[in-house]
Amino acid sequence: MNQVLLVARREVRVLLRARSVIGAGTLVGLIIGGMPVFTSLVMGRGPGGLFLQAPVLGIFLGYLFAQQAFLREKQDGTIETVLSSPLTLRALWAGKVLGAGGTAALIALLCTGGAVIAATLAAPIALSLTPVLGLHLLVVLPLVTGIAVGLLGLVQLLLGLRENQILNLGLVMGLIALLSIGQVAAGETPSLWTEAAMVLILGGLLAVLARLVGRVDRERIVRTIA
Amino acid sequence: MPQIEVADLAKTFEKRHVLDGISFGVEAGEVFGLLGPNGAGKTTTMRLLLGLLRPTRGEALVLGVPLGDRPDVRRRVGVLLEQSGMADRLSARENLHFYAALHDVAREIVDDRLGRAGLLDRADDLVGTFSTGMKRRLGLVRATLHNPEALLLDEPTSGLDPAAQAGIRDLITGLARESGAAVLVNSHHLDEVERICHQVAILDRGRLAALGTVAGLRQGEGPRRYGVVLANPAELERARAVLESFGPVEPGPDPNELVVALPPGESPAPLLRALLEAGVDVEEARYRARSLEQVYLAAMGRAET
Repeated sequence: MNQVLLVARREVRVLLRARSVIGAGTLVGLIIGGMPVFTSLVMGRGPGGLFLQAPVLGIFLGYLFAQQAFLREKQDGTIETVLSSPLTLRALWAGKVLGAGGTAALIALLCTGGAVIAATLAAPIALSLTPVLGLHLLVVLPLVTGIAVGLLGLVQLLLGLRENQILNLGLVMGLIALLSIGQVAAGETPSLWTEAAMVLILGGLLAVLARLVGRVDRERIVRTIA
Repeated sequence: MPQIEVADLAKTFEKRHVLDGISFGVEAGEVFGLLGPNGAGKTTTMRLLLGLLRPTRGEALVLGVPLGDRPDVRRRVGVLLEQSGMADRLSARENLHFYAALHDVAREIVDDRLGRAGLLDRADDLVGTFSTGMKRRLGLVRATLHNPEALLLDEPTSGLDPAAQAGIRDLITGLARESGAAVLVNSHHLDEVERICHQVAILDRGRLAALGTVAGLRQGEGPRRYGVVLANPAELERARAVLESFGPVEPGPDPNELVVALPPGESPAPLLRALLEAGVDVEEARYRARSLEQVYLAAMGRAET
Protein backbone atom coordinates (compact mmCIF):
# COMPACT_ATOMS: atom_id res chain seq x y z
CA MET A 1 0.00 0.00 0.00
CA ASN A 2 1.08 3.56 -0.65
CA GLN A 3 3.00 4.97 2.33
CA VAL A 4 0.72 8.01 2.66
CA LEU A 5 -2.41 5.84 2.77
CA LEU A 6 -0.71 3.49 5.20
CA VAL A 7 0.04 6.31 7.63
CA ALA A 8 -3.43 7.82 7.10
CA ARG A 9 -5.14 4.53 7.96
CA ARG A 10 -3.01 4.21 11.09
CA GLU A 11 -3.87 7.76 12.14
CA VAL A 12 -7.61 7.22 11.68
CA ARG A 13 -7.44 4.05 13.78
CA VAL A 14 -5.48 5.77 16.53
CA LEU A 15 -7.84 8.76 16.51
CA LEU A 16 -11.00 6.68 16.60
CA ARG A 17 -9.67 4.92 19.70
CA ALA A 18 -9.03 8.28 21.41
CA ARG A 19 -12.68 8.37 22.42
CA SER A 20 -12.32 11.35 24.75
CA VAL A 21 -10.81 13.45 21.94
CA ILE A 22 -13.43 12.35 19.40
CA GLY A 23 -16.19 12.88 21.97
CA ALA A 24 -14.94 16.34 22.93
CA GLY A 25 -14.51 17.28 19.28
CA THR A 26 -18.04 16.17 18.37
CA LEU A 27 -19.51 17.98 21.38
CA VAL A 28 -17.66 21.18 20.49
CA GLY A 29 -18.77 20.70 16.89
CA LEU A 30 -22.41 20.39 17.83
CA ILE A 31 -22.45 23.22 20.37
CA ILE A 32 -20.33 25.90 18.78
CA GLY A 33 -20.49 24.69 15.20
CA GLY A 34 -23.88 23.11 14.68
CA MET A 35 -26.01 25.27 16.97
CA PRO A 36 -25.26 28.60 15.25
CA VAL A 37 -26.00 27.03 11.85
CA PHE A 38 -29.26 25.62 13.19
CA THR A 39 -30.26 28.95 14.75
CA SER A 40 -29.34 30.89 11.63
CA LEU A 41 -31.43 28.62 9.40
CA VAL A 42 -34.43 28.43 11.72
CA MET A 43 -34.47 32.21 12.10
CA GLY A 44 -34.59 32.55 8.35
CA ARG A 45 -31.17 34.15 7.85
CA GLY A 46 -30.34 31.70 5.11
CA PRO A 47 -27.38 29.33 4.76
CA GLY A 48 -24.73 32.08 4.54
CA GLY A 49 -23.43 31.56 8.10
CA LEU A 50 -22.74 27.95 7.28
CA PHE A 51 -20.08 29.00 4.77
CA LEU A 52 -17.97 30.53 7.53
CA GLN A 53 -18.96 28.35 10.46
CA ALA A 54 -18.18 24.97 8.87
CA PRO A 55 -14.55 25.75 7.91
CA VAL A 56 -13.88 27.41 11.28
CA LEU A 57 -15.20 24.27 12.97
CA GLY A 58 -12.97 22.22 10.67
CA ILE A 59 -9.98 24.30 11.76
CA PHE A 60 -10.87 23.82 15.44
CA LEU A 61 -11.21 20.05 15.06
CA GLY A 62 -8.06 20.00 12.96
CA TYR A 63 -6.24 21.71 15.81
CA LEU A 64 -7.52 19.07 18.27
CA PHE A 65 -6.53 16.16 16.05
CA ALA A 66 -3.15 17.62 15.04
CA GLN A 67 -2.24 17.43 18.73
CA GLN A 68 -2.93 13.71 18.60
CA ALA A 69 -1.27 13.05 15.28
CA PHE A 70 1.91 15.09 15.60
CA LEU A 71 2.53 16.41 19.10
CA ARG A 72 1.67 13.19 20.96
CA GLU A 73 4.08 11.16 18.83
CA LYS A 74 6.79 13.74 19.36
CA GLN A 75 6.25 13.97 23.11
CA ASP A 76 6.43 10.22 23.68
CA GLY A 77 9.49 9.82 21.44
CA THR A 78 7.79 7.47 18.94
CA ILE A 79 8.62 9.94 16.18
CA GLU A 80 12.32 8.91 16.32
CA THR A 81 11.46 5.32 15.42
CA VAL A 82 9.07 6.44 12.69
CA LEU A 83 11.73 8.75 11.22
CA SER A 84 14.19 5.84 11.25
CA SER A 85 11.79 3.73 9.19
CA PRO A 86 11.62 3.77 5.37
CA LEU A 87 9.00 6.54 5.56
CA THR A 88 9.98 9.91 4.14
CA LEU A 89 9.11 12.91 6.27
CA ARG A 90 6.79 14.17 3.54
CA ALA A 91 4.90 10.86 3.34
CA LEU A 92 4.60 10.81 7.13
CA TRP A 93 3.27 14.38 7.19
CA ALA A 94 0.91 13.81 4.26
CA GLY A 95 -0.46 10.62 5.81
CA LYS A 96 -1.13 12.36 9.09
CA VAL A 97 -2.79 15.29 7.32
CA LEU A 98 -4.98 12.90 5.34
CA GLY A 99 -5.89 10.77 8.36
CA ALA A 100 -6.36 13.45 11.01
CA GLY A 101 -7.59 16.14 8.60
CA GLY A 102 -10.02 13.75 6.93
CA THR A 103 -11.46 12.67 10.27
CA ALA A 104 -11.77 16.29 11.44
CA ALA A 105 -13.45 17.35 8.18
CA LEU A 106 -15.87 14.42 8.38
CA ILE A 107 -16.92 15.30 11.93
CA ALA A 108 -17.28 18.96 10.97
CA LEU A 109 -19.41 17.91 8.00
CA LEU A 110 -21.57 15.61 10.14
CA CYS A 111 -22.09 18.33 12.78
CA THR A 112 -23.00 20.88 10.12
CA GLY A 113 -25.17 18.41 8.22
CA GLY A 114 -26.86 17.37 11.45
CA ALA A 115 -27.64 21.02 12.20
CA VAL A 116 -29.07 21.52 8.71
CA ILE A 117 -31.27 18.42 8.97
CA ALA A 118 -32.45 19.46 12.43
CA ALA A 119 -33.27 22.93 11.13
CA THR A 120 -35.30 21.57 8.20
CA LEU A 121 -37.25 19.42 10.64
CA ALA A 122 -37.81 22.27 13.07
CA ALA A 123 -38.85 24.95 10.61
CA PRO A 124 -40.34 25.09 7.12
CA ILE A 125 -37.14 25.99 5.30
CA ALA A 126 -36.08 24.79 1.90
CA LEU A 127 -32.38 24.20 1.62
CA SER A 128 -31.08 22.33 -1.38
CA LEU A 129 -27.56 21.12 -2.01
CA THR A 130 -26.52 23.66 -4.62
CA PRO A 131 -23.19 23.26 -6.49
CA VAL A 132 -21.74 26.10 -4.39
CA LEU A 133 -22.79 24.47 -1.13
CA GLY A 134 -21.61 21.05 -2.34
CA LEU A 135 -18.23 22.45 -3.38
CA HIS A 136 -17.92 24.27 -0.08
CA LEU A 137 -18.73 21.31 2.13
CA LEU A 138 -17.08 18.56 0.14
CA VAL A 139 -13.97 20.34 -1.14
CA VAL A 140 -13.31 23.65 0.63
CA LEU A 141 -14.05 22.32 4.11
CA PRO A 142 -11.65 19.31 3.80
CA LEU A 143 -8.99 21.55 2.23
CA VAL A 144 -9.22 24.16 5.01
CA THR A 145 -9.13 21.42 7.64
CA GLY A 146 -6.19 19.72 5.93
CA ILE A 147 -4.25 22.97 5.81
CA ALA A 148 -4.99 23.57 9.50
CA VAL A 149 -3.74 20.08 10.43
CA GLY A 150 -0.76 20.32 8.09
CA LEU A 151 0.35 23.75 9.22
CA LEU A 152 -0.10 22.98 12.90
CA GLY A 153 1.60 19.62 12.48
CA LEU A 154 4.57 21.22 10.76
CA VAL A 155 4.89 23.86 13.45
CA GLN A 156 4.52 21.26 16.21
CA LEU A 157 7.29 19.19 14.64
CA LEU A 158 9.60 22.20 14.58
CA LEU A 159 8.89 23.68 18.00
CA GLY A 160 9.88 22.46 21.44
CA LEU A 161 7.42 21.51 24.17
CA ARG A 162 7.36 24.94 25.81
CA GLU A 163 6.86 26.81 22.54
CA ASN A 164 4.12 24.36 21.58
CA GLN A 165 2.32 24.99 24.88
CA ILE A 166 2.39 28.76 24.27
CA LEU A 167 1.22 28.24 20.69
CA ASN A 168 -1.65 26.01 21.86
CA LEU A 169 -2.86 28.60 24.33
CA GLY A 170 -2.82 31.30 21.66
CA LEU A 171 -4.60 29.03 19.18
CA VAL A 172 -7.39 28.07 21.57
CA MET A 173 -8.07 31.75 22.30
CA GLY A 174 -7.93 32.63 18.61
CA LEU A 175 -10.24 29.81 17.56
CA ILE A 176 -12.81 30.64 20.21
CA ALA A 177 -12.74 34.24 18.95
CA LEU A 178 -13.12 33.03 15.37
CA LEU A 179 -16.06 30.80 16.24
CA SER A 180 -17.72 33.73 18.04
CA ILE A 181 -17.23 35.97 15.02
CA GLY A 182 -18.67 33.22 12.86
CA GLN A 183 -21.80 33.18 14.97
CA VAL A 184 -22.54 36.87 14.48
CA ALA A 185 -21.24 37.29 10.96
CA ALA A 186 -23.86 38.14 8.41
CA GLY A 187 -24.17 35.18 6.12
CA GLU A 188 -23.67 35.96 2.47
CA THR A 189 -23.65 32.98 0.14
CA PRO A 190 -20.51 33.12 -2.00
CA SER A 191 -20.63 32.69 -5.75
CA LEU A 192 -19.43 29.57 -7.54
CA TRP A 193 -16.46 31.54 -8.87
CA THR A 194 -15.46 32.58 -5.35
CA GLU A 195 -15.64 28.98 -4.23
CA ALA A 196 -13.61 27.79 -7.23
CA ALA A 197 -10.97 30.46 -6.55
CA MET A 198 -10.85 29.33 -2.92
CA VAL A 199 -10.31 25.73 -3.99
CA LEU A 200 -7.39 26.81 -6.17
CA ILE A 201 -5.83 28.98 -3.46
CA LEU A 202 -6.26 26.34 -0.76
CA GLY A 203 -4.90 23.60 -3.01
CA GLY A 204 -1.91 25.79 -3.76
CA LEU A 205 -1.35 26.44 -0.07
CA LEU A 206 -1.44 22.73 0.68
CA ALA A 207 1.10 22.08 -2.08
CA VAL A 208 3.38 24.82 -0.69
CA LEU A 209 3.12 23.26 2.77
CA ALA A 210 4.03 19.82 1.40
CA ARG A 211 7.04 21.36 -0.32
CA LEU A 212 8.11 23.08 2.89
CA VAL A 213 7.86 19.80 4.80
CA GLY A 214 10.30 18.24 2.34
CA ARG A 215 12.87 20.83 3.42
CA VAL A 216 12.46 20.32 7.16
CA ASP A 217 15.62 19.28 8.94
CA ARG A 218 15.13 15.98 10.76
CA GLU A 219 17.69 17.13 13.32
CA ARG A 220 15.43 20.05 14.26
CA ILE A 221 12.59 17.60 15.02
CA VAL A 222 14.76 15.28 17.07
CA ARG A 223 16.38 18.08 19.07
CA THR A 224 13.01 19.53 20.06
CA ILE A 225 11.62 16.24 21.35
CA ALA A 226 10.36 16.71 24.89
CA MET B 1 33.69 -3.81 4.49
CA PRO B 2 31.96 -2.76 7.73
CA GLN B 3 28.16 -2.70 7.54
CA ILE B 4 28.05 -0.04 10.24
CA GLU B 5 30.88 2.44 10.16
CA VAL B 6 31.80 5.55 12.08
CA ALA B 7 34.84 7.51 10.93
CA ASP B 8 36.26 10.50 12.81
CA LEU B 9 32.70 11.27 13.90
CA ALA B 10 32.17 14.49 15.81
CA LYS B 11 29.03 16.29 16.93
CA THR B 12 28.80 19.67 18.60
CA PHE B 13 25.65 21.20 20.08
CA GLU B 14 26.02 24.96 20.63
CA LYS B 15 29.79 24.73 21.26
CA ARG B 16 29.33 21.64 23.47
CA HIS B 17 31.34 18.73 22.10
CA VAL B 18 29.13 15.67 22.51
CA LEU B 19 31.26 13.47 20.27
CA ASP B 20 34.83 14.15 19.36
CA GLY B 21 36.34 12.13 16.53
CA ILE B 22 35.32 8.55 17.27
CA SER B 23 35.88 5.73 14.77
CA PHE B 24 34.83 2.08 14.69
CA GLY B 25 33.27 -0.44 12.35
CA VAL B 26 30.88 -3.38 12.67
CA GLU B 27 31.28 -6.22 10.19
CA ALA B 28 28.48 -8.48 8.93
CA GLY B 29 27.68 -11.18 11.48
CA GLU B 30 29.30 -9.24 14.30
CA VAL B 31 27.72 -7.95 17.51
CA PHE B 32 29.36 -4.70 18.62
CA GLY B 33 28.80 -3.19 22.07
CA LEU B 34 28.86 0.52 22.73
CA LEU B 35 29.47 1.16 26.41
CA GLY B 36 29.70 4.32 28.43
CA PRO B 37 28.07 6.30 31.23
CA ASN B 38 25.11 8.62 30.68
CA GLY B 39 26.19 11.56 28.56
CA ALA B 40 29.10 9.67 26.99
CA GLY B 41 27.63 10.06 23.51
CA LYS B 42 26.15 6.59 22.88
CA THR B 43 22.65 7.75 21.93
CA THR B 44 24.06 10.61 19.88
CA THR B 45 26.19 8.10 17.96
CA MET B 46 23.09 6.02 17.28
CA ARG B 47 21.07 9.05 16.17
CA LEU B 48 23.91 10.08 13.85
CA LEU B 49 24.00 6.60 12.35
CA LEU B 50 20.23 6.70 11.81
CA GLY B 51 20.50 10.06 10.08
CA LEU B 52 18.40 11.75 12.75
CA LEU B 53 21.30 14.14 13.43
CA ARG B 54 23.92 15.55 11.06
CA PRO B 55 27.60 15.07 11.92
CA THR B 56 29.64 18.19 12.65
CA ARG B 57 32.61 16.29 11.26
CA GLY B 58 33.30 12.81 9.93
CA GLU B 59 30.95 10.11 8.69
CA ALA B 60 28.29 7.82 10.11
CA LEU B 61 27.41 5.13 7.56
CA VAL B 62 25.07 2.15 7.64
CA LEU B 63 25.28 -0.33 4.76
CA GLY B 64 27.73 2.08 3.15
CA VAL B 65 25.55 5.21 3.09
CA PRO B 66 24.34 7.99 5.41
CA LEU B 67 20.78 6.89 6.28
CA GLY B 68 19.27 10.38 6.53
CA ASP B 69 18.67 10.76 2.81
CA ARG B 70 18.17 7.10 1.95
CA PRO B 71 14.73 5.72 2.89
CA ASP B 72 15.42 2.82 0.50
CA VAL B 73 18.40 1.72 2.61
CA ARG B 74 16.49 2.32 5.87
CA ARG B 75 14.22 -0.50 4.64
CA ARG B 76 17.16 -2.90 5.26
CA VAL B 77 17.94 -1.60 8.75
CA GLY B 78 16.32 -2.51 12.08
CA VAL B 79 16.10 -0.05 14.94
CA LEU B 80 15.11 -0.26 18.59
CA LEU B 81 15.46 3.03 20.41
CA GLU B 82 14.69 3.99 23.98
CA GLN B 83 10.97 4.06 23.17
CA SER B 84 9.44 0.97 21.59
CA GLY B 85 8.10 3.06 18.70
CA MET B 86 4.59 1.62 18.98
CA ALA B 87 1.28 3.46 19.07
CA ASP B 88 -0.31 2.82 22.47
CA ARG B 89 -3.83 2.95 21.01
CA LEU B 90 -3.18 0.20 18.47
CA SER B 91 -2.93 -3.49 19.21
CA ALA B 92 0.39 -5.33 18.97
CA ARG B 93 -0.76 -6.97 15.75
CA GLU B 94 -1.95 -3.68 14.20
CA ASN B 95 1.35 -1.99 15.06
CA LEU B 96 3.35 -4.80 13.50
CA HIS B 97 1.13 -4.92 10.40
CA PHE B 98 1.94 -1.24 9.88
CA TYR B 99 5.70 -1.79 10.08
CA ALA B 100 5.46 -4.99 8.01
CA ALA B 101 3.78 -2.99 5.23
CA LEU B 102 6.43 -0.26 5.48
CA HIS B 103 9.16 -2.88 5.00
CA ASP B 104 7.26 -4.86 2.34
CA VAL B 105 7.05 -7.89 4.59
CA ALA B 106 4.12 -10.34 4.31
CA ARG B 107 1.55 -9.83 7.08
CA GLU B 108 1.53 -13.57 7.76
CA ILE B 109 4.96 -13.35 9.34
CA VAL B 110 3.64 -11.12 12.13
CA ASP B 111 1.80 -13.84 14.06
CA ASP B 112 4.77 -16.18 13.75
CA ARG B 113 7.10 -13.57 15.27
CA LEU B 114 4.60 -12.66 17.98
CA GLY B 115 4.41 -16.35 18.86
CA ARG B 116 8.19 -16.66 19.07
CA ALA B 117 8.30 -13.65 21.40
CA GLY B 118 5.58 -15.19 23.58
CA LEU B 119 3.14 -12.39 22.77
CA LEU B 120 0.65 -14.12 20.49
CA ASP B 121 -2.00 -14.40 23.21
CA ARG B 122 -1.81 -10.59 23.65
CA ALA B 123 -1.70 -9.83 19.91
CA ASP B 124 -5.07 -8.05 19.91
CA ASP B 125 -4.52 -6.11 23.14
CA LEU B 126 -3.68 -2.42 22.93
CA VAL B 127 0.04 -1.77 23.37
CA GLY B 128 -0.83 0.86 25.99
CA THR B 129 -1.87 -1.99 28.30
CA PHE B 130 1.51 -3.75 27.97
CA SER B 131 4.21 -3.80 30.66
CA THR B 132 7.59 -2.18 29.96
CA GLY B 133 9.14 -5.58 29.36
CA MET B 134 6.43 -6.63 26.92
CA LYS B 135 6.78 -3.36 25.03
CA ARG B 136 10.52 -3.98 24.82
CA ARG B 137 9.99 -7.49 23.44
CA LEU B 138 7.45 -6.19 20.98
CA GLY B 139 9.86 -3.43 19.96
CA LEU B 140 12.51 -6.01 19.22
CA VAL B 141 10.04 -8.06 17.18
CA ARG B 142 9.29 -4.89 15.19
CA ALA B 143 12.98 -4.11 14.72
CA THR B 144 13.76 -7.60 13.40
CA LEU B 145 10.52 -8.28 11.51
CA HIS B 146 12.17 -7.74 8.11
CA ASN B 147 15.41 -9.63 8.84
CA PRO B 148 17.56 -6.48 8.68
CA GLU B 149 21.11 -6.47 7.39
CA ALA B 150 22.08 -3.99 10.09
CA LEU B 151 20.46 -3.73 13.51
CA LEU B 152 20.87 -0.82 15.92
CA LEU B 153 19.65 -1.46 19.45
CA ASP B 154 19.54 1.02 22.32
CA GLU B 155 19.44 -0.75 25.69
CA PRO B 156 17.56 -3.76 24.27
CA THR B 157 17.08 -5.55 27.60
CA SER B 158 16.25 -2.62 29.87
CA GLY B 159 13.17 -3.31 31.96
CA LEU B 160 13.22 -7.04 31.28
CA ASP B 161 13.36 -9.92 33.77
CA PRO B 162 16.41 -12.23 33.63
CA ALA B 163 14.63 -14.90 31.57
CA ALA B 164 13.45 -12.34 29.01
CA GLN B 165 16.95 -10.81 28.93
CA ALA B 166 18.40 -14.20 28.08
CA GLY B 167 15.80 -14.63 25.32
CA ILE B 168 16.71 -11.27 23.80
CA ARG B 169 20.42 -12.08 23.98
CA ASP B 170 19.79 -15.36 22.15
CA LEU B 171 17.76 -13.55 19.53
CA ILE B 172 20.50 -10.96 18.93
CA THR B 173 23.33 -13.48 18.69
CA GLY B 174 21.16 -15.79 16.54
CA LEU B 175 20.36 -12.96 14.14
CA ALA B 176 24.03 -12.06 13.76
CA ARG B 177 25.14 -15.66 13.36
CA GLU B 178 22.37 -16.98 11.12
CA SER B 179 21.45 -14.04 8.92
CA GLY B 180 24.83 -12.30 9.04
CA ALA B 181 23.39 -9.02 10.34
CA ALA B 182 25.75 -6.44 11.77
CA VAL B 183 24.44 -5.55 15.24
CA LEU B 184 25.28 -2.44 17.25
CA VAL B 185 24.14 -2.57 20.88
CA ASN B 186 24.12 0.40 23.25
CA SER B 187 24.13 -0.93 26.77
CA HIS B 188 24.86 -0.26 30.41
CA HIS B 189 24.90 -3.98 31.19
CA LEU B 190 28.55 -5.01 31.18
CA ASP B 191 27.75 -8.69 31.67
CA GLU B 192 25.35 -8.59 28.73
CA VAL B 193 27.96 -6.97 26.49
CA GLU B 194 30.57 -9.44 27.68
CA ARG B 195 28.29 -12.35 26.77
CA ILE B 196 27.06 -11.33 23.35
CA CYS B 197 29.52 -8.86 21.84
CA HIS B 198 32.53 -9.67 19.70
CA GLN B 199 33.90 -6.14 19.89
CA VAL B 200 33.39 -3.30 22.35
CA ALA B 201 33.92 0.44 22.27
CA ILE B 202 33.90 2.38 25.52
CA LEU B 203 32.92 6.03 25.24
CA ASP B 204 33.79 8.64 27.83
CA ARG B 205 32.65 12.23 27.42
CA GLY B 206 32.42 11.87 23.67
CA ARG B 207 35.81 10.27 23.19
CA LEU B 208 36.75 6.69 22.50
CA ALA B 209 38.29 5.46 25.75
CA ALA B 210 38.82 1.86 24.62
CA LEU B 211 38.16 -0.25 21.55
CA GLY B 212 38.80 -3.91 20.83
CA THR B 213 37.55 -7.45 21.20
CA VAL B 214 36.17 -8.37 24.61
CA ALA B 215 38.99 -10.89 25.13
CA GLY B 216 41.61 -8.43 23.96
CA LEU B 217 40.38 -5.66 26.23
CA ARG B 218 40.22 -8.00 29.21
CA GLN B 219 43.74 -9.19 28.60
CA GLY B 220 44.91 -5.63 28.00
CA GLU B 221 47.96 -4.34 26.19
CA GLY B 222 49.82 -3.17 29.28
CA PRO B 223 51.03 -5.25 32.22
CA ARG B 224 49.82 -8.85 32.39
CA ARG B 225 48.08 -9.74 35.60
CA TYR B 226 49.45 -12.86 37.30
CA GLY B 227 47.61 -14.39 40.25
CA VAL B 228 49.29 -16.41 42.98
CA VAL B 229 47.12 -18.39 45.44
CA LEU B 230 48.93 -19.15 48.69
CA ALA B 231 48.57 -22.40 50.59
CA ASN B 232 48.86 -20.56 53.93
CA PRO B 233 47.04 -17.24 54.43
CA ALA B 234 49.48 -16.33 57.22
CA GLU B 235 52.14 -15.86 54.54
CA LEU B 236 50.23 -13.15 52.67
CA GLU B 237 52.32 -10.23 53.93
CA ARG B 238 55.60 -12.04 53.28
CA ALA B 239 54.45 -12.95 49.78
CA ARG B 240 53.31 -9.38 49.11
CA ALA B 241 56.77 -8.08 50.07
CA VAL B 242 58.38 -10.50 47.59
CA LEU B 243 55.91 -9.80 44.77
CA GLU B 244 56.17 -6.01 45.06
CA SER B 245 59.68 -6.20 43.64
CA PHE B 246 58.13 -7.51 40.36
CA GLY B 247 55.27 -5.04 39.99
CA PRO B 248 52.20 -3.46 41.65
CA VAL B 249 50.30 -5.96 43.82
CA GLU B 250 46.60 -6.12 44.63
CA PRO B 251 44.34 -8.66 46.34
CA GLY B 252 42.86 -11.27 44.01
CA PRO B 253 39.30 -12.66 43.90
CA ASP B 254 40.38 -15.55 46.17
CA PRO B 255 41.07 -14.44 49.80
CA ASN B 256 44.43 -16.21 49.65
CA GLU B 257 45.36 -14.70 46.33
CA LEU B 258 47.60 -11.82 45.35
CA VAL B 259 47.69 -10.43 41.82
CA VAL B 260 50.83 -8.81 40.49
CA ALA B 261 50.98 -6.70 37.30
CA LEU B 262 53.95 -8.05 35.38
CA PRO B 263 55.61 -5.79 32.80
CA PRO B 264 54.85 -6.89 29.19
CA GLY B 265 57.10 -9.74 28.02
CA GLU B 266 58.26 -10.64 31.51
CA SER B 267 58.02 -14.32 32.50
CA PRO B 268 56.45 -15.25 35.86
CA ALA B 269 59.17 -17.90 36.49
CA PRO B 270 61.56 -15.61 38.48
CA LEU B 271 58.62 -14.49 40.60
CA LEU B 272 57.70 -18.07 41.51
CA ARG B 273 61.33 -18.88 42.22
CA ALA B 274 61.59 -15.88 44.55
CA LEU B 275 58.49 -16.97 46.45
CA LEU B 276 59.88 -20.48 46.90
CA GLU B 277 63.22 -19.11 48.08
CA ALA B 278 61.35 -16.94 50.61
CA GLY B 279 59.65 -20.05 51.91
CA VAL B 280 56.17 -19.17 50.68
CA ASP B 281 53.98 -22.16 49.74
CA VAL B 282 52.20 -21.55 46.44
CA GLU B 283 49.05 -23.60 45.86
CA GLU B 284 48.16 -22.28 42.42
CA ALA B 285 49.42 -19.66 39.98
CA ARG B 286 47.90 -18.42 36.70
CA TYR B 287 47.41 -15.39 34.45
CA ARG B 288 44.29 -13.46 35.37
CA ALA B 289 42.36 -11.49 32.79
CA ARG B 290 40.56 -8.37 33.97
CA SER B 291 36.79 -8.38 34.09
CA LEU B 292 35.06 -6.13 31.59
CA GLU B 293 33.97 -4.03 34.55
CA GLN B 294 37.63 -3.45 35.47
CA VAL B 295 38.38 -2.58 31.85
CA TYR B 296 35.43 -0.20 31.84
CA LEU B 297 36.40 1.50 35.08
CA ALA B 298 40.00 1.78 33.95
CA ALA B 299 38.88 3.33 30.69
CA MET B 300 36.77 5.80 32.63
CA GLY B 301 39.87 6.67 34.65
CA ARG B 302 38.10 5.76 37.87
CA ALA B 303 40.20 2.80 38.90
CA GLU B 304 43.65 1.39 38.49
CA THR B 305 44.02 -1.78 36.44
